[in-house]
Amino acid sequence: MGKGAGTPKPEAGKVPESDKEHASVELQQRADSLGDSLRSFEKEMDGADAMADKIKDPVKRDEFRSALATLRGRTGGLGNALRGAVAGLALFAGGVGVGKSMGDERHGAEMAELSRQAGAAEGENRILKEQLAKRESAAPAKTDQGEKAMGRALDTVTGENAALRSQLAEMAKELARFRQERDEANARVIAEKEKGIVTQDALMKQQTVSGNLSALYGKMKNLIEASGDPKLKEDADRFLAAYE
Amino acid sequence: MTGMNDQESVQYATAKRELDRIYDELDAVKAEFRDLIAQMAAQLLAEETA
Repeated sequence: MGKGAGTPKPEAGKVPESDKEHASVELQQRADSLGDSLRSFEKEMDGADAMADKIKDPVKRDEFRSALATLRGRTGGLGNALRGAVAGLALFAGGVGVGKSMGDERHGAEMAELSRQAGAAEGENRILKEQLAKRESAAPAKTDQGEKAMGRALDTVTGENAALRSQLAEMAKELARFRQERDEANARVIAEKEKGIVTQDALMKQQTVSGNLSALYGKMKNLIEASGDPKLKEDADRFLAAYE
Repeated sequence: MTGMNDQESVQYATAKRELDRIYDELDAVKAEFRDLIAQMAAQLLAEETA
């Protein structure tokens, strides 16, 4: 597939690498421009869903929907990658004019990595939801008898996993709390960034809550996957919704 | 204004590479999206004229 579809790609120009402040501003501007481009493209993709819905051939329609979902997943992954890059940039910019020890550098790199991992987990969650939606729409019609038998089997398995469901419900509440904390931390970082004073404290809090959120999400996902309960897997997005 | 030490130069180069990669990947996704839109338009047209 050819490239060059129009995303503005400002060149680095002749920014001297010895000038850290210039380099930081330049990269931040490129990240901002890229963020704008991503948001604009996501809106464009929303319009394409309506177009796919108008296609009468069900096979073709599903193919197009699937392709759109894949592109949306990739775009979401890019958004997460950008968030990780911005976090890394903030760490880079945070040291302007301030001497940092190797320990600080290592800690900064760890936080940036944590952010990247959180972004990757968010992408996985989106893909999981798309797969679940696709499975529901593609499920073949069953006979009444078959559905009843399937329902009984699922009820049995679900009953066995009642304790797990209860545990997941509690974890979902915790997930929602972490999500709120992360949103607040993100807002604080953005507010401070707008004032030109992104601090290590705000960034550290952001990375910590993102890490907690990501870890809990991963644990819940693993529990659901390991349960072997297909109904529970279908309900996964209900438990994991707070992560989005 | 301060200069960059070796560690900072590496950080700068790494961040720049990552942004370049995201730009390139977004361009690729956009190109695939345009192709998909063209295919959907052709399908809709074919269904209308069928």
